[in-house]
Amino acid sequence: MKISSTQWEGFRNLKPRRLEWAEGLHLLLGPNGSGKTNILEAFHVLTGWGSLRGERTADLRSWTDPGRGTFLSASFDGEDSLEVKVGIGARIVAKKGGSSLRSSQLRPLVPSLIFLPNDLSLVEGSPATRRRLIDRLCALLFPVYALRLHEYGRALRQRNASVRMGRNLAATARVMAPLAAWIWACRLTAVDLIRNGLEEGEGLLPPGVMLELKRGGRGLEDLHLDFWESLEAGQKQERATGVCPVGPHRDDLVIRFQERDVARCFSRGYRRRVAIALLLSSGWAVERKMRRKPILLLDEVMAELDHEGREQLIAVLLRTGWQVFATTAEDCTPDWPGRVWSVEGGRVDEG
Amino acid sequence: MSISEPVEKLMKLFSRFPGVGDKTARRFALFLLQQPGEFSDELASTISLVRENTFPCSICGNLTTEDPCPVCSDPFRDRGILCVLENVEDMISIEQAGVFSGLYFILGGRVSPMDGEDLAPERIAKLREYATGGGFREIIIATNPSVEGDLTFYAVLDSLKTTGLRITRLAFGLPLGGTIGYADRVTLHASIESRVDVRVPDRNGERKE
Ligand SMILES: Nc1ncnc2c1ncn2[C@@H]1O[C@H](COP(=O)(O)OP(=O)(O)OP(=O)(O)O)[C@@H](O)[C@H]1O
Ligand SMILES: [Mg+2]
Ligand SMILES: [Zn+2]
Repeated sequence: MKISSTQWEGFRNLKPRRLEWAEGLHLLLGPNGSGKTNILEAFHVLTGWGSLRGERTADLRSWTDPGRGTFLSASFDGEDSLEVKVGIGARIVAKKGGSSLRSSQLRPLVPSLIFLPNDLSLVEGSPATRRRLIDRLCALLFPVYALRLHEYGRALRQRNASVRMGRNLAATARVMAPLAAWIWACRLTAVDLIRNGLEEGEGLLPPGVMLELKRGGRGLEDLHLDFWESLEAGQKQERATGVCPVGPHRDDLVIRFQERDVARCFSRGYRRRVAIALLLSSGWAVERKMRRKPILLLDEVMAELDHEGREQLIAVLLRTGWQVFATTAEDCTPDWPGRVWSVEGGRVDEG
Repeated sequence: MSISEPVEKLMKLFSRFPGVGDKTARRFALFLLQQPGEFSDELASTISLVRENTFPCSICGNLTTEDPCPVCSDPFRDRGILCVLENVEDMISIEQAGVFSGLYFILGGRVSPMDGEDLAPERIAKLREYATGGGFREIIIATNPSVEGDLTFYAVLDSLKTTGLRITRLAFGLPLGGTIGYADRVTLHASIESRVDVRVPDRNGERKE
C-alpha cells in the first residue's frame, strides 16, 4: 500500500496542510524540533497504531491551537484503495467510508512498520525491545493478537497478585495457559517469517546471521504442555520472588552469527545493520503473507550508519518498491534517490 | 462562589452516577430546579420508596420488591436450566434481549485478585445448594469474556465440579475483553445458542483455539 495524500489539522506542532505523496522514497529533512517525528507519528496514527511509544492521546492535540479540534485524514492506494479519517479527542477514532473502524481492523488494511532511534539498539537492548519487533509483526498478521497480548498481560498481573496474597494459583494458570500457547504459536510463525526475510536483505549483513525465538518456557514442543510444565517447575522460585518466571513475557529473540551472540561479536555499526535488517525482514513477511506492500516509517535511521551502510540500506529500500518515509536532521545523503521535503517550524514543503 | 452550597451538593451527588460527568450533573440539577415542585417531590419519594422496598431475591439474587422475584416465580420459565451471572446488570441485559427463558443465579461479584475482589464463600455455598437441589439439567456459567470473567468462571466451575451436573459456558462471539452488559442482542443470542460443554483445562488438557 501507499499513502497518496494526507491532511492534518491541530496535530502536535504541524501547520494545517494537505499534501500529496508519490510512491517510492521520501526524505523529511529539517532541524531539531521542526516536526519530522510528528509527521511520522501522524502516519502511525493513520495506519492504526496510535501515538508513538504510548504517549497520552491528549498530547497529540496542538498546545498552541487547541480550540479547533484535531483531525487527520489520508488516502491510500496500491493493492486496495481507501480513505481513512481520524478524529482525536479523548480517544482516537478512525473511520473508513463513514463507519468507525477498530485499530485492529485498520492495521492490516494499511500495514505500516515504524523504526525509532531506540530500535537501533535492538541487538544490545533489553529483551522487551526485541519482543516489540516480533509483536508488531504479529499484530499485523493476526488481527486479535494485540488484544490477546493485552489479556495475557492482565492475567499475568492477576497471577502476580495471587502469588503475593498467597492464594491458590490454579485458576490464573488455566486462564494464562491457552493465551500463552497461542501467543507462542504466533511468535514462532513470525520469527520463521523474519528468518526467511533476512535472506532478502543480503548486502546489509554478512550471510549466516541466525535467529531463534527463545521461549520463556522449558522448550517442549507441545506449547500447551510446555507452559504447564514450566510453570510447575518454576513455582518455588515464583513463590519466593513474587514474579512469574514463565511465559511469553519472558521470551527473547536470540540473534547469532557463527554460533556467537551478535550483541558481543558485532561492532556497533553492524549491530545497527542487524536491527535495520530485522525491520526490513518484517516488511518482507508482511508483503508475502498479507499481499500488501508495507509502508516504512524510519526515524533518524541514516544518522547512525556509515557511508557504506547508508548506500546499502538505500539500495535495499529501492529494491523493495515500498513507500518509505525517512527523517534526518542533517542531509547525510546527497544522492537520495527520491523526494526530499524540508520541514521547518511545523511546515512541510517540497524542495 | 456563584453557586449556592445545596445546589452544588446536588450536582456532586448526580456526578456520582456512572457515565455522568460534571457537565451532565449540572444539567440534571438545573433541570430539576426548573421543574414544578411536584416533580422533585415525586422523584425523592420514589427514590426512598424503591430503596426501602427493594432487596435481593432470596433465591437468585435479582433485585426485587417481592420475594421470590418475578423471574423465579414465573411458571412459564424453563426450570431445568440455570444461568449463573456476575451481576444484576448482566441479567437485565439478557432479559431485555429476550434470548433466555431459564432461571438465573447472580453471584454478586467476581474474582480479581489485583483489585482485591473475590466471590463470597456464602454465595458459592448457596449456588451449590441451589444447583444440586433444584432439579436442573444444565448450568450455564455466563461470566464475562475477560480475564476476570475467566477467573470467576473457574471459581464457579470448581465449586460445581463434583455435582455431576451438565455445565456449559457461553461460546464467545463476544469480543474478548468485553462485557455481557454491552453486548448487542444478536451477539448475546449467538453466544447463548452456541454455548459449549465445559472441559476442565489442565496440563494435559483443553486447547482453547
Ligand atoms: N501537542 C503539541 N502541540 C504543539 N507542539 C508540540 C506538541 N507536541 C510536541 N510539540 C512540539 O513539536 C516539536 C517538533 O517535534 P518533533 O519531535 O517532530 O521534532 P523533530 O523534527 O523530529 O526533531 P528532532 O530532529 O529533534 O528529532 C517539538 O519541539 C515539540 O515541542
Ligand atoms: Mg525526531
Ligand atoms: Zn429470583
